[in-house]
Amino acid sequence: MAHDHEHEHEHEKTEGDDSPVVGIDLGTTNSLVAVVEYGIPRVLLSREGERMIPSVVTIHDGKPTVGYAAKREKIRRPGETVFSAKRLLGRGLEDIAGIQGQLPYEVLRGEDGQLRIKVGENLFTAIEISAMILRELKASAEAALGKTVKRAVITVPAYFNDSQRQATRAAGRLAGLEVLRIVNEPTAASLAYGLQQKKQGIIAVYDLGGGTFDLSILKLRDGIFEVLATHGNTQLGGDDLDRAIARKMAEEVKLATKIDLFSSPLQTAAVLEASEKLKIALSESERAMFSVDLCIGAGKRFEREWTVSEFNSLVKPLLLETRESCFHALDDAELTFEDITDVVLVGGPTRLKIVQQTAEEIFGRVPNTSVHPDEVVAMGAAIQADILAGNNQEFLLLDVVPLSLGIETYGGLMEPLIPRNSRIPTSARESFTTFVDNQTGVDVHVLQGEREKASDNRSLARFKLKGIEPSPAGFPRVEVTFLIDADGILQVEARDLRSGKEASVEVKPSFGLAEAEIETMLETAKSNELSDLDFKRWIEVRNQAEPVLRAAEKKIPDAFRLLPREEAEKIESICRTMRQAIERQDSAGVQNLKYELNAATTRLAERVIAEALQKAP
Amino acid sequence: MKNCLFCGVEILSPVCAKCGGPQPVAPGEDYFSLLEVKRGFKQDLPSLEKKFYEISRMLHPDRFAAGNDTKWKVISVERMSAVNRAYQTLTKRDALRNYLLELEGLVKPEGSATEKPAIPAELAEEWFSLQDAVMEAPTTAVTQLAAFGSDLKKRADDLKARIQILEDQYDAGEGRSESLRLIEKLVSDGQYLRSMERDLLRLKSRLGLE
Repeated sequence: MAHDHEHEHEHEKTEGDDSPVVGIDLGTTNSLVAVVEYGIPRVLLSREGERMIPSVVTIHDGKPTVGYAAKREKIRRPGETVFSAKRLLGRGLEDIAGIQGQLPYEVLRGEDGQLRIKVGENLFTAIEISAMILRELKASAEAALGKTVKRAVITVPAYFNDSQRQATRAAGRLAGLEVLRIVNEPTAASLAYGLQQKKQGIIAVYDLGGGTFDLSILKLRDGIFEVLATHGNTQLGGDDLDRAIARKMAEEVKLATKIDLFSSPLQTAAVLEASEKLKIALSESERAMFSVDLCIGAGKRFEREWTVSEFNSLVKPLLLETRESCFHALDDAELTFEDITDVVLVGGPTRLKIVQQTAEEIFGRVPNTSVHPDEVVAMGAAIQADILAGNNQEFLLLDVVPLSLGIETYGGLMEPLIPRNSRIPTSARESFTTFVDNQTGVDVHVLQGEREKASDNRSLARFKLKGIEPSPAGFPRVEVTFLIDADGILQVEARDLRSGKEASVEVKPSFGLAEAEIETMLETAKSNELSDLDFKRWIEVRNQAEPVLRAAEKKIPDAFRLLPREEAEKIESICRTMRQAIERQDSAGVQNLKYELNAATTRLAERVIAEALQKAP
Repeated sequence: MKNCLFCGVEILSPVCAKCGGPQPVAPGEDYFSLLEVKRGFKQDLPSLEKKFYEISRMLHPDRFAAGNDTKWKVISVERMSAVNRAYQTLTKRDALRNYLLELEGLVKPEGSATEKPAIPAELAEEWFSLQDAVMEAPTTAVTQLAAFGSDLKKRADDLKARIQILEDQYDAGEGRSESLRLIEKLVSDGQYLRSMERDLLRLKSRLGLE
């Protein structure tokens, strides 16, 4: 029996390792999931049968709907539909001042500083909304592969800071995924490009997504993808082009009719959608009509024809903002434009001619448009997932941290400890002391950013080094290690050098969730997955099945002693499957297996009773 | 020779060839030994890169991501971050010089300011007369400014050349401690040149020349 147990354990372990690791592109406007099979990456179809899942969530009567179905509700139920939640991930209210008035949903500051999105009567964090999208991607992948999906690689914009990365990882965990790695989008794209083109050299990945822009410079050589530098803007993307159109149209409408197009969530949603439609139409033809309902339901429409050149001159200043990032990244990589062998365009908006022209002007060369702008990031994420699963020993990504990490000094300045574009993982040590006699704690304020004044940078965490033994000022030495892991996420460890003891560090992300909070949310999420009625039914099923199963499990040694081997093995295998079904909360499965187990153990029960009678005096 | 922390066999690389376990950074290992190159001021960048790639391929946390051994994961992150720091340092001339001087016990860590090196008298004089000239006739001071700038540059180049000779001597193993002492002195002499260059730049921008 002991041997059998060991065997079972081993079986479970290999099964876990065999489960596919998927790559997820969690986008501002669209999300995708992909997987590598036999060395070839492919995008998995959503449960709606599409290659992309719009990153839109509608929550109606407490039930979330994700994807095209939710996107269709954008106009019908603006107060219950959330999109572009990625722009709010890991952010505070002051970070989103620029877009807040133009979102058709309400964003509030929660007690913990984290943002809350108002959906109907309920409040959700951007992490929870993102987790709903990730859950849909997980379910889609499971349906497409016919296997359970537990592990994933999730991409983020390269210029995402620590809080935004942590928030993304938390969303993954909340969706029931083990996030093996957070990968930068342009870096992921380079993997797919490298696999497809088999080129070596120095490439610039110009990645304009729905809500973010990244420019990464990579050296591709012998299967190594080494990021030399990265720069970006986390508040610039295709969405902003829509908003520029919307603002222009709102001005004209106001002049002509005094109607404010941003007056209600419904109107805002309608004008944004009309703007997006116009942008897409103008990517294919020279002229297109902007058309929107003025008072929804009243049948009054506003229509106005646009030309491509009008659109181009409207968005050009926005697009030129990307130039600065290109200069910064080249500078940091100590390269010039001549050193670049290829410029790769990534992201839906790079389909626009004006974006391609802008990239060409900046780099002085015709950009490469051979990769699929919408799918390349997900494909790359899948390749990285395959690398992490140990299936691809040929490729390796060497990435960097996009922003400098430092601490606040006594005078309110930032002292950088890890400069931007350092290869990750990386670490830095700093020792701290006390300023007054018998001080037992030291406050440490960790910052991320490039500005000199501490308050101009992003506050990542504040923590207290506690339990320092009372002694004269300046005497204690607490050594703090700041480690940035391969996800670009900070970990802090502290040690009292005099006592050699680990010092206590409490790090709470400024706009994220502490580990314990994620655990609690996971528990609640699990029970919410089943509606109350289903849950009650499940508890009944489980309570009936559990004693039957436990009794049978106990009798397995007897079965091997008293029954033919095949019969005993059958009982054992039913027990095992049933245990798994209980863990999955598979109500119908448990029900069926209980009948199967009953049937399989009838003869065993007879034998056991007969044996007991024989033994009786 | 060292032995694997996990299976005990003799090891020659940062990851055990037999059991696959990554090895923690041992006391006494420095940036040169981490990258398996010779200690010296001059490093051949292509071969350094080759070494760095080779080690990364074995040691990077990506190689341990799917495994169940948490200890291996932690060690790989720690050693890889040391290797990354080492590579960042050894590929930059100034950083490499400072690191090696510190490693040899010649430079105190930053912050513990030693006395500032004295500016040579003739250079100081030149600087003061330049400032006087600028005050009196800013427009005609242009040529003097340029002359001073090229003087500074000449001195900096000269310093660089002398440091280079000494570094070559150290790398060749000739009079190591003497070379190090002289390098350290020249490096700190370089500090006043740099600060004067900055002052000059500031002066030029005030005159609207830069």
